Amino acid sequence: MNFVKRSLPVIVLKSLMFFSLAAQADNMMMARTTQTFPEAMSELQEQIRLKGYVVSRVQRVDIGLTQSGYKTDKYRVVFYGKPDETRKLCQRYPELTAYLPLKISIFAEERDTILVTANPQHLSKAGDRELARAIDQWEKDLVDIFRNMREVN
Amino acid sequence: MQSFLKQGMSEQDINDVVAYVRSFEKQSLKAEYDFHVEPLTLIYDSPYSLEKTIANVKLAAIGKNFRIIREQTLEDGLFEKGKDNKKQVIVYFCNFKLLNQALAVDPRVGLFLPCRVTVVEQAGEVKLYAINPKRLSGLFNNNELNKLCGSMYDTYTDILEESTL
Repeated sequence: MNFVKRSLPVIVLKSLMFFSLAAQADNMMMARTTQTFPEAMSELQEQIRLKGYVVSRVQRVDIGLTQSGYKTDKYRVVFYGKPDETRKLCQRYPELTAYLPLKISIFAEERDTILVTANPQHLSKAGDRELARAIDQWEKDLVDIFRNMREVN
Repeated sequence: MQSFLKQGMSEQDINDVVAYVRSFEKQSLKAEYDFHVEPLTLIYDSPYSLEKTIANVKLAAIGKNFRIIREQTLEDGLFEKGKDNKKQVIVYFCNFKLLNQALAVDPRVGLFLPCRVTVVEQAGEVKLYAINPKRLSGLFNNNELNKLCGSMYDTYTDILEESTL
């Protein structure tokens, strides 16, 4: 009984953490790299280009962050896409214009750099094969990009 | 499993963890809305021209205490200058207080900041498209962010409505 009392909080916490991470893994894609922020920024753009995408813009999100007490002033969003594919999909699915070009957030956390993006599957529409093919490819490319970013340490 | 007393936690630590876990019972895990049924995108029809609608979006955003960050075509940077579609225009706007508040709650939310409205003219019709913050709140799995997303939803719909009145 004593054993159960001692172990219960740990089991509950581990279960909560497991289910929480599993849920996040479905929705959000994240990677941590030990590269410095400038190195990771450069490497990320290279990895995106290697997958055949064009980096269309790098947006600063950190203006004034440190003045407001936020712990990092190194925060960017990298926009990217395949020009013809983006044009075609925006014409066929105008509702996607709110979400395209695709993007990845990159920010410094202490000495590491974190990459975050939403799993593109959240854009899918039931029963649409053409869109599903594009989204599956985006997801696959993101998995590769994030894995490569983790490995370049 | 080895007892956490043996792993270095004190009785007090364990009691604190148990109390913390039990406190979850009192927290409402339900958002005020069901993000599953929310549409992916907020879409509004504009009775105005593309140019007039863009101007309206800017005015409406400023009226809500946002600062206009920039206006660009959706294809800017994807195609050579001049070859981008001029009928798809994104207006970016930001309220730094809100931005900092959101990032402090969850740094991942920067992915959807600054705010943007896309104005599109297609087949003679002008429409406005914006992300639906209520739908996106489901991605983050963060209760505190749900409230902020609810408030952002209201702001977006106000701006979209004012731009198309």
